Amino acid sequence: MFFVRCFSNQRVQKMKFKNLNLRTKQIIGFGIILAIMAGDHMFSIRNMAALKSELDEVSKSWLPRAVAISDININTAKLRSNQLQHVFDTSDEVKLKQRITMAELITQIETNRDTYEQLKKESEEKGLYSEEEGNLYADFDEKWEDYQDFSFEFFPLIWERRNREAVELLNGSAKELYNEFSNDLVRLVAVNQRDSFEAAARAEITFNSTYTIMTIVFGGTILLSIFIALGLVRFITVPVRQLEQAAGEVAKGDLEVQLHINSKDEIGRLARSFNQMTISLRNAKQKMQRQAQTLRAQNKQLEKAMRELRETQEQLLMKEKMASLGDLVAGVAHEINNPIGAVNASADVVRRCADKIESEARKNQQLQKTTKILKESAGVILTAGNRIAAIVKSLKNFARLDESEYQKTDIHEGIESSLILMENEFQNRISVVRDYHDIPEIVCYPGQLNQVFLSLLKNATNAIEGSGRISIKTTTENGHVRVEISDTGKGIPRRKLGKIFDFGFSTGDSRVKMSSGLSTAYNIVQKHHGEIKVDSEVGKGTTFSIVLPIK
Amino acid sequence: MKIVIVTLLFLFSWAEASFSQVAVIAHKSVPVDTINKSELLDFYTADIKKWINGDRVIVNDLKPKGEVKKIFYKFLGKTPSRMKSIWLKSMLSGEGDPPEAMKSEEEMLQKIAATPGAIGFLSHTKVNNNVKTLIVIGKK
Repeated sequence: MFFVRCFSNQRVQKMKFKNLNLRTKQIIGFGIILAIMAGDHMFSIRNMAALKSELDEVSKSWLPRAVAISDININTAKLRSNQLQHVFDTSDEVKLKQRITMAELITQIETNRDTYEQLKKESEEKGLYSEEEGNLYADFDEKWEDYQDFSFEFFPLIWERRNREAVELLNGSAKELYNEFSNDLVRLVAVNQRDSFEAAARAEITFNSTYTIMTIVFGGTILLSIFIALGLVRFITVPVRQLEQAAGEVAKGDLEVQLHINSKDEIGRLARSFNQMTISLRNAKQKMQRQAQTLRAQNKQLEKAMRELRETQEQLLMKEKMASLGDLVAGVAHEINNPIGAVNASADVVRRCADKIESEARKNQQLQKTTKILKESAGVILTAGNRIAAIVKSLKNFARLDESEYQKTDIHEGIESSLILMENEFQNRISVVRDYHDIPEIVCYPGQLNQVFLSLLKNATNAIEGSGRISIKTTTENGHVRVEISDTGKGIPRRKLGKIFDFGFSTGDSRVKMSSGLSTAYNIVQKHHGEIKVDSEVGKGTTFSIVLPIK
Repeated sequence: MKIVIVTLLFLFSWAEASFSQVAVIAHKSVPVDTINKSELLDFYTADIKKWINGDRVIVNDLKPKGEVKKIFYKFLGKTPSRMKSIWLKSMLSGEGDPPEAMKSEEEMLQKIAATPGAIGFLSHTKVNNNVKTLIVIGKK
């Protein structure tokens, strides 16, 4: 049924050899070889059986029969010769011996005949006994019978010493009989010989043909085996090796590998699965790469958010500090104001009293001196009181950190406040040079800007080792106000300039723990939509420039 | 119709009888009334030389070659020539002479009728009352 389906047109396409599965291919391949080998063996066995039977013919049929017949021939000849000899046997002893000998010869002949007749029977059963031979043997049988009849007459003649008659008898018809059956026997041998040669010839032909065919089949089997082995290689080994190579490439990282195995058997299916696998791998790889990118971007964002968070935290902290500081300052200012009032009032009273005393003590020089000292001291107290009041005012100015107070401010006021606060640090070593131009009031958070100025002044102060100068210049340009704060300090190295506004940057020691001062300043300026820049030369000095929009 | 059939059957059986029946006969004095093949063979090969009553077994052969002789020796299981080899051996070893060969069936009949202990064979149709029939060969 398989083959019928195989040859119907529709199915021929599907049944192409390369599309059968591996097991079927192998079964077919090996099956063909086995079939040929089996056929070869059966053929050779059959031929060997034929060969054997032909050889058996010779060895079990013709030859033994020929031998038996030959023996009969020899023995009958011997008998006859003995018979003739018997005539001339003189002594009874010899005669007796001869008789025994002849009896033995008869026994031999009988044995030979038994052998022959057994063989004859066997050969007749196999159909290997010819009519010709049968006739010859029958003729021998008859003539031998008759010869024996003569012998029955012969021996008594001898024993009655009628020798002449005996010899005549044996040399008469008996001789003819003897010759005839002897001839029969010779012909029997010849017949057997001939048949034996024929059988041997047939055996040789069988052998040669078998040999030839087996050699051809052997060669054919080898060729077919090579062919099938090549087929196996082509269908199995080569694709498997391709698969192995491709797998190796994929393992090394090349995902563009594709297999081009088109058969529909297991190898083909494996190849297609492999290709799908590499495609999936490629897609997965790309997906992973994209995800990695996304992750990296997200990471960057996270870092940025983290930074902003930290900055915000710091700012918050600072705001809190500032708030508490502001409260503190406000409180202190308030507290100070009371005594200040008292001081000022009292100082004034003292001065007036001193004036009064002075006018009444014109005549007394000692009293005049004392009164003068009194007046001077009162003046000092007043001045000091005023100074305290000014400081308190500046402090209060400085502590104006309310964000909601977005208002028009005179920058110069803010700068001055900051300067006042810094006077203590300036002492005598740092001189301040003001280059103020006409600048309009700008809308801003004054408290925050003051913070900025203070930061910058602090930085400038710290930068100056020993004595130096701080210059402040204010100008208007293009709808902006520019404030430049320069110092003659040690300067900032070029490589640090870029990072100076970064959060956490510190130029070194600072009295007030505001290491984030510059970055805060930067943020504040940014919030005011302004710019802050720095220029510096090591050993010469630093200049911070702030540009703020007026509106 | 009946007559035809009967006649045919008679002819057929008669034909059979005349061609295939050989009687083994013996002198009336022999102590057996029947004989089997192996006993007969023993007599002819001189393995048994005496009857149970002590008489010598006198075996006879038929000289003319023909159907009778053929049937008899076939029954014995030996060809005449094989038989004669046995007799020749016997003769040479001094055990005994070969049987006499009767020149015809009539002579066979006469001799057996006249010789005590004699045994022989001939065509069944030639048997008379002067002899004992021990067995008929070829009857079917």
